[in-house]
Amino acid sequence: MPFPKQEERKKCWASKDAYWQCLTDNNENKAKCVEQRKEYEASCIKQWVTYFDRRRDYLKFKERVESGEADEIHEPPKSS
Amino acid sequence: MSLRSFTNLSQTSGKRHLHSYHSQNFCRNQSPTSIPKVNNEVPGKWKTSPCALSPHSCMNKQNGLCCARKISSQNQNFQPPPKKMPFWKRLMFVSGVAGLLYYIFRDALHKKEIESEHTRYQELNKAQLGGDWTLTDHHGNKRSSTEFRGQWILLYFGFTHCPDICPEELEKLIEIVKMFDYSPKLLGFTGPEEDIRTVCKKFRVYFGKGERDENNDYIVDHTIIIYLINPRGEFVNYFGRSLTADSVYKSVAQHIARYNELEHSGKLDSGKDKKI
Repeated sequence: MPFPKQEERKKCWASKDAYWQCLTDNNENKAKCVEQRKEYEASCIKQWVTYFDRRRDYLKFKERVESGEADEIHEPPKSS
Repeated sequence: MSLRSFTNLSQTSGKRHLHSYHSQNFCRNQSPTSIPKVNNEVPGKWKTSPCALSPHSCMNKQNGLCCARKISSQNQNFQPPPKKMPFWKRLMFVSGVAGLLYYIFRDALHKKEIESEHTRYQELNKAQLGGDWTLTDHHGNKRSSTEFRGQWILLYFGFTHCPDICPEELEKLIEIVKMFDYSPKLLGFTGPEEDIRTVCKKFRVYFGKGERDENNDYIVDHTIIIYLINPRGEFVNYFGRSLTADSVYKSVAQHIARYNELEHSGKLDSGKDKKI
């Protein structure tokens, strides 16, 4: 996929947001968001899919650390 | 009203009509023999009495009046109050005064703004942020920043394939330029890493290459700032991610207006030499 132009970039971000919303609604259950995932992977270039997945993991980890559930020293963020 | 100011008034004004506060009601309860002193702790009706101004105040004992201020030796009789101006005249007078005050205030504020902009330029000159650079534009041509003299520039640093922040900031840049009613002329610049490093150093831009992942791709961590450069190639201000296109537009418009005024009045040609 060539580097996205503005319209493509917007489409990618929208599909990413939809996928993330689905994950949030279903308590991170990826099985329930297969369709959104497909759409998201189709709209975004590979580098961005990797980046956004990692970003999601990081944000979720950060949430857990901030709420005291996870210890950042003993449990580094997992990379997908 | 402070007593002191009241004293000044009496000294500057010449003949004054005895006004209502000099009336018999005000001073009746005072003992003619006592000389009221300026003393806020003494309670009572004459706390605000202008009678407590000077030792002279109880010298005139007439009609039970203790407190006739010695403004004019003739004017001892109580005179009727002056005829009031008709309402519309008073209104016009007050409006006139208000307008004048407002104009004076605005003018002073404006002068202060221009002065502070002038100071800003002097301080920024010391900081030596920015400066001239040479890089390759997205058409493959080598360009120097001196080519853009006479134009205002909004400068943003980023990296290609940047996934989330850069697209937003660049679109913001374009929106800001559109608000000025110019067609956006976005130019991309790049060059060998050494040249990039040199320019980044001038603008104190941090950048750090991330680790390559399994796809041999990497993220570049970097300062997220839009710099404003004036027609002389000088750094004027910077705008962070949290500002909207609208607020940046307003700020840039202000800088442009003040710059034009400063340039017009010759204040910017103070003979400073910028060493890069």
